[in-house]
Amino acid sequence: MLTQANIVLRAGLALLLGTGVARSATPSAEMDIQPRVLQLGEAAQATITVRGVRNPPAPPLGGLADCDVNGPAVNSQINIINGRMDQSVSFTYQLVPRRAGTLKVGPLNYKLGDVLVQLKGLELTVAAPTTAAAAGGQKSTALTDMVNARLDISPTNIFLNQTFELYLSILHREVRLDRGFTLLNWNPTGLHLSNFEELPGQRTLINGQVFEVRQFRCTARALTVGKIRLAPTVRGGLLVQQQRSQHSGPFNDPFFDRFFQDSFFNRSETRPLDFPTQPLEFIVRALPTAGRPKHFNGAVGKFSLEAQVKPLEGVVGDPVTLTATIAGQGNFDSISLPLMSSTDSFKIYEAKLTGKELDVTQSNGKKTFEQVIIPKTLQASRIPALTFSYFDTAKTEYVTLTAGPFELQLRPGAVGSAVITSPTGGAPPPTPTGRDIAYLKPAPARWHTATTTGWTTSSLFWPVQTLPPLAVLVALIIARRRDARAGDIRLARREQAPRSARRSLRTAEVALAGGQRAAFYEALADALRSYFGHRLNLPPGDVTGDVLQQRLVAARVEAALAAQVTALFELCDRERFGTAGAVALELEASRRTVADTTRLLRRFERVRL
Amino acid sequence: MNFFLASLLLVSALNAGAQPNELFQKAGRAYDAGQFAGAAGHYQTLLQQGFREPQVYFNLGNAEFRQGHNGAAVLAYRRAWQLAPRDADIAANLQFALEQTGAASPTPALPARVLQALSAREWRLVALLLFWLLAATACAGLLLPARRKQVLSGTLGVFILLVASLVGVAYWFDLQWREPEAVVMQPAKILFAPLPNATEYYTLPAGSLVRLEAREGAWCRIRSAGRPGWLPQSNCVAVCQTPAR
Repeated sequence: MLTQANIVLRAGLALLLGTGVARSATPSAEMDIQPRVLQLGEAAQATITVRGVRNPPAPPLGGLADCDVNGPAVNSQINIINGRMDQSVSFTYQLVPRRAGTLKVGPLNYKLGDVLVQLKGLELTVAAPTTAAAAGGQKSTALTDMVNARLDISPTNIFLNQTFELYLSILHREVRLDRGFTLLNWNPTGLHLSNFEELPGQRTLINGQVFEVRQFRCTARALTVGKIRLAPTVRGGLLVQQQRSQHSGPFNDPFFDRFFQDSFFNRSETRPLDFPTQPLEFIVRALPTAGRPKHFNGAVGKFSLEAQVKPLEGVVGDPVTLTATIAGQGNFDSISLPLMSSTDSFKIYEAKLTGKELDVTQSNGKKTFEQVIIPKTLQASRIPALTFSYFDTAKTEYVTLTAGPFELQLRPGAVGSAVITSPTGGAPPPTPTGRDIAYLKPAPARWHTATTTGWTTSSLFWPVQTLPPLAVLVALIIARRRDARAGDIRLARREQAPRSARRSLRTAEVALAGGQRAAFYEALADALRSYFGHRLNLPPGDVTGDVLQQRLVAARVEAALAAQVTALFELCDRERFGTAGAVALELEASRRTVADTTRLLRRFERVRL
Repeated sequence: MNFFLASLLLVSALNAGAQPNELFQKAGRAYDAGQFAGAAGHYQTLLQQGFREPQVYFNLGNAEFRQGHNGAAVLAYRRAWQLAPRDADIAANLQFALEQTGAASPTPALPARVLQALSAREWRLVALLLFWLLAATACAGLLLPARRKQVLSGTLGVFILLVASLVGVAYWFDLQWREPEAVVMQPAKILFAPLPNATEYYTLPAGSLVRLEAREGAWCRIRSAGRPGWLPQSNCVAVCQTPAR
């Protein structure tokens, strides 16, 4: 069973390989050597990659003069990308130069089946060993000679608003540097910079010395005209091996101590290292005024313009869409579609940005605009050409790109369809044929001055504004008292006492006016009972002269006052239950009684019971 | 005697009302006759007399625009707009003047557009009314316990509106006083530093609306489209000149 599955798998792979090879029919080969710059005694690797041939023969790299060639090591690789198979075979040789100077490898003629492929020749730069190294590796060179940095720009002829590339190269030899760097004194005034990105490492030969080069690139844009000087200091980390301790190892045993002193266990430490860059100076020039197109809107770089109109056939009054794409390299943030104004023939709406595909530096890519155009008449059969102007920094001249004109095939619209209807219905809005400022406004209905209308500056304004919070405060007090009264019967009755007494006294006055003696004294007694009943929180039936006397004495009320109350009670009782019912009411005396009662109760309002 | 005094007061009031009207009409006639400088002078007189009406600023803007003083025209239109932000004519003329100079039109975000629906004075008035209404509803809520729940929810609504109106007041305060809007009167080179020989950062056409961040001696620090810079104070005039009514 397992054997059968294995056979099927192999057959499938063979079929796939066969298909892939059949698809990549053209044999090809390419050669690369890394590093291209090296010191005498070092080795370089030459890799020849062959595609489109199964089992290719080894390339004829042997027999190079001034160079020992070892190999090849063969490596096959199959890649399936998007359903397409790519099979390649790599031959790797080790090249060890025997002399300093420039060595040429190739060009080589390489026969792949029936096809003869020519491999491009490559050059190796081999540096002679330094005098110090030759003398036994004595490093007497200053550290700054071994580490330095420089800035470069490309291109070197810069105009205002031009985007260009700024390179920072860090070169070092015979020392190891940490990966991270910081730029000190880095204040590139007059430039807008993107973030630095690191490029693949390389080597270079300077004064017979091989330097490792780490290169960083960013996109810059000149914001101002004039001389720009950049001279930052690079702060990096120098990797140095930690000093081995003088004492013996942790195990106090020569074997184990040697083991732990091995380089694998030797840690390195980073020491900060500042090294200046070679100052970079360049001049940013203003854009020339001569030959500047009328519609130039500040685009600088190199651009292309494509535009199309859809649909090209239609009915008068139906909208068509003009789509324009500006692509290229430059200051895309300043790019907009040239302004097209409405005419007698066309109603043209404002162009809208509908697409923006820019790289991280915002300087390469494209912007797409759409503009809706409505032909208003049958004669509007040609949309005028679209123009876009920019300053070409390579040619150092203004370039105007044109797209169009665009021919339209128009048919008269059906009744009602050729007009641009307003959303509210009714007659279409009049189409403006010109633009100007609106005419003068009429005089205001009422003239105000700062003095007559500065209501906030009035001296009364702020005092009046304290009224709302005061009103809220008063309402709050009232509400709290009411809430308190709702839960405190004694307090509620205390507040009710004068009202109930007044009510009874009014009844007494009515009875007095009607000459009703019994009713008068009944009301008077009721006034006393209700008042003192509420004040002392007693049921109305419990308020008698005796009870009242006791409570008043207990409350230490003035004896004369208490006597007056008792006397009044007795008078009322006498008159109500005595034989005076038939006797006519003495008006003056009764009025005095009412007045005395009122006065008495008012005095009791100030007495604490 | 009393009748005489009342008549005298009435006539004085009528004269006081007629004076600005007469000057306004006179300015209009000068404008129609093509005497734009004269018209602008009459409108300036009205403004100096304290009649800071949007109509006066608008017409002054027209007179300045006709003379080719685009910076001054934008300044007058913007002052009119601050007093009457919903006026379509003011917005149209301001836009037109900005287009003529090549200055960027202000493009406020949606919240700012909402806050610009009312002028500073209108926001203050709304806030004041809501303040009184809030107090009234709070009193009603306290004094009407039976309907306290409904009234207090209404109070909460009024409070939210009051906060919104205070945001409107704060927005205009920011625009007019904290970091006031200003107009660049002549085409200007914006410099990196307040020094005559400083490096030019960018340029602004006449009529450009900027925010005035600070004044130092004869210079002022402005911000345009997020970019700071310096220019002489003589070339930059704040839109809000006096307490708005």
